[in-house]
Amino acid sequence: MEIISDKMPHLNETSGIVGEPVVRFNNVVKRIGRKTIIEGLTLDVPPGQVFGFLGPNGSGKTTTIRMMTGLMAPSAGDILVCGRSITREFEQAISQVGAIVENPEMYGFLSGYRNLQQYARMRADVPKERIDEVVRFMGLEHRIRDKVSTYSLGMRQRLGVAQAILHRPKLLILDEPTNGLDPQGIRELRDYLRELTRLEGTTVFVSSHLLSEMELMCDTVAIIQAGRLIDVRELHGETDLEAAVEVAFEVDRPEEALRLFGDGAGEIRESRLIVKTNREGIAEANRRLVQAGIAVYGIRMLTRSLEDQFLEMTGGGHIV
Amino acid sequence: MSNFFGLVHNENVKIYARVRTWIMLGIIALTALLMPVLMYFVSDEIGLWSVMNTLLLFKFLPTVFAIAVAADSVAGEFARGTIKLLLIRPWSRSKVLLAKYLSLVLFMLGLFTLFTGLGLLASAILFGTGSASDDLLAQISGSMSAYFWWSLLYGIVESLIYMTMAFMFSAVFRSNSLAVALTIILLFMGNVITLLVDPAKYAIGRYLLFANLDLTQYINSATGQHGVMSLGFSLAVLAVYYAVFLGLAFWVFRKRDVAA
Repeated sequence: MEIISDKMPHLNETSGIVGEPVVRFNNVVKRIGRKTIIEGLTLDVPPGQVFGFLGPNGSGKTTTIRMMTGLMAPSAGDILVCGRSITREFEQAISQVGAIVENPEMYGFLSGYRNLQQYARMRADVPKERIDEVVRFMGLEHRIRDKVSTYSLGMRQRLGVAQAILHRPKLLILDEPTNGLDPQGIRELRDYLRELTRLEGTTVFVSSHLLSEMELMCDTVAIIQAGRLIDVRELHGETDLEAAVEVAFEVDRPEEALRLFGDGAGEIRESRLIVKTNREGIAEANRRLVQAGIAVYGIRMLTRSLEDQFLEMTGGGHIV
Repeated sequence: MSNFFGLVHNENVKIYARVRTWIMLGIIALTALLMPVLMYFVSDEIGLWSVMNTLLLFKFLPTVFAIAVAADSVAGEFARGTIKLLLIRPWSRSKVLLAKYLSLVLFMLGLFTLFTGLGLLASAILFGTGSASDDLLAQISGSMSAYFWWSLLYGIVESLIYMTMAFMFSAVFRSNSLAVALTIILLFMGNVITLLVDPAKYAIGRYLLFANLDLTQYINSATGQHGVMSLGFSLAVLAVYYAVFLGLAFWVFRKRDVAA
């Protein structure tokens, strides 16, 4: 029988195990001049997740990350990192954070190793062995003694992650981390982030404007547009094959096709036959249509993908 | 090693890992070594301290180099974008900036030490360390060594003020070229401004930075070149400007959002 101590995350009936939020945005407002960049952002980031922060370009993602890391001060409201205010208790709050803000800019005239040493010297808890461990982990050991000015973008990105995880932060913030990475690198990063949350319990906060990427990487996605939080939703790994979806059949005689299935089975919209069915049902319906001599020109699932919903919510991807 | 010394060490690494720093050191070393050699060949009736006082004509070199490095100190971090990674560590912005400033002061003192040390070494080898009884200048104007050491000390004070000014411009404008340009312009315009607003005529001229920067004016005259000020007065004025420069640099650096 296990003893559950106070320090264990407590059980929550609705969403399983939850702990104190790692980041808590409390009605955060950011104005620059007359322009309001962030309008009253209130959001909790649960621990141990890969949390996506999704929004089109110019929606305020980087501004939010700058406020989370203390680079910018909120005009109103507060951000708590591990329960500490980033504005009033900066040093305690930031010590739990590792981050890349925008591009991983490093000192080009120093070697990768000496760059990491810079950040190791600023903490008491990063011995030399830890630097070597992180270098090996990021696969940088062959080039770590070379000057960073000779690195490719992908290698800089890895070095950027290396400096961010050097001190085993509870919260890892990555701003558009896949920029400049090749598909192989993106995959490695994804696997690595998963591993980090699983093995070390790190909470990862990733921003991106690419939904497809977020879907593969994140447990939860918050969607922001024009400085406003629009939606927070949990993503489930696999698409449910059994779920019924609306399917449009483009056929030559839609009325006849509808009669074939029975009048209550579907409807006709824009001279297409719309039925609600699951994956297997689509194949079956198609077979029956073909057997009845009805020409099928196209079959399309109408249930909007998250991407469509995202585009719809964020106004068709316009830069706002 | 998470103590404040680590931060200063970081800043030192950033200064000395760069090629430009070693070019500056090389130019200063060459000047300090070659000036005595040149004087050895062009005149004979001089001694060690005359040579050293002549070498001080080149004290603008360590000053200009210290300005160049100071102007890059904060602005360079913004230009590269490295400021973001620097400021997300468990150190307050004031301490990060203080570490930068201390490393610059050490660098400036290092430049003057190199300049003086190599100059003394070369002069001692060429002219000997004995009393310069044949040194005409020394016989005319009293102790040349005392004059040299005071001039050097005052030169370092002047350099410190200019370097702090460049550091302030760097932190306030976040632009390397602007910080260098402004400081160098003021370095050369200083005398003109003092001429225009003559402290002997206008009281306000006495409170201008540039009328007080050259403290060597008090070595031979208690009231300075304009006859209206004193060493204590000038030091007080310089202290106020120094405090304002540093105060501005820290205030702006702490307050402003980082959007680099």
